[in-house]
Amino acid sequence: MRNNYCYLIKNLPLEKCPPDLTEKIIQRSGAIPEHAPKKCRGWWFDAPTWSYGLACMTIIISMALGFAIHSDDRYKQQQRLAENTVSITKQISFNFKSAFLNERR
Amino acid sequence: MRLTDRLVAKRIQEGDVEAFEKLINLFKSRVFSYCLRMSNDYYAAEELTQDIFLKVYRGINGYDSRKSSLSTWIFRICRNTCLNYVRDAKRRPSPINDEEYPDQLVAADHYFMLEQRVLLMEALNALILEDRDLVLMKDYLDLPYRDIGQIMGIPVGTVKSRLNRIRAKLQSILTNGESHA
Repeated sequence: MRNNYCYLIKNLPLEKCPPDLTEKIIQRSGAIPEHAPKKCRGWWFDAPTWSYGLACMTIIISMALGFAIHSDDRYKQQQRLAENTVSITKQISFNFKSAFLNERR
Repeated sequence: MRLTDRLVAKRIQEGDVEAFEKLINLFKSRVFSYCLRMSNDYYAAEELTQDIFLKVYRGINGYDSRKSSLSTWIFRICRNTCLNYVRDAKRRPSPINDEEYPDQLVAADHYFMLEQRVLLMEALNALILEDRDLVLMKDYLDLPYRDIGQIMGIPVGTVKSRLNRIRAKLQSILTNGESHA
């Protein structure tokens, strides 16, 4: 049994690979960007970057529009108020003027 | 099997890294063991294994599932790479000295007596390169005759007859300590 070829070869186990063999192969192949050495891959092609970018742009544009509309409303409101004030002042001065003229007559 | 091979190859061609990683994990032990038995050098075997999988990755576009299975294709690359290495280096096989190897290599053989292992290694190293290659493929890696025939480019009948002759020679070396190489 000790020198039986069939017995010996059948009991010869496969060797244990070096623990980081798979990683080394993948690194050398450049197959995985995560495993591969960092290289400029063009971040603008990434779908997540696009998604985040679009979401941020939408939020910023919405906020800007909202602020603009709000400002416009307030401006118009103030303009109306100013016009009203002017007309009321005119009316009052006119009334005073009329009353003064009547009194003199 | 061929369908699976085709799918795996297609996934790797499309850049599916997970498929490539699975392929490596499926074959690496056998490829590394074969390389080690052929080269008798742990660090060379590691380099060879890396080179073989790189060739697999770069050549996967040329793989045709109608001609051979993926394992046959990989072992053909493995065999050619190892034979080229051994021939180029013009290295004569030398018996493995486990003391020079990293711990994990010895640890893998905890159930296999070191003495028997050395006997077998010496017997295998006494063979010529082509015979050692054939016997490792069949008796160590347990590849089917048909696949070995495809890998080596010889008929199945020739594989069987050569194996019988080599096994008898190995048995003779183990029993009598004779080397016919």
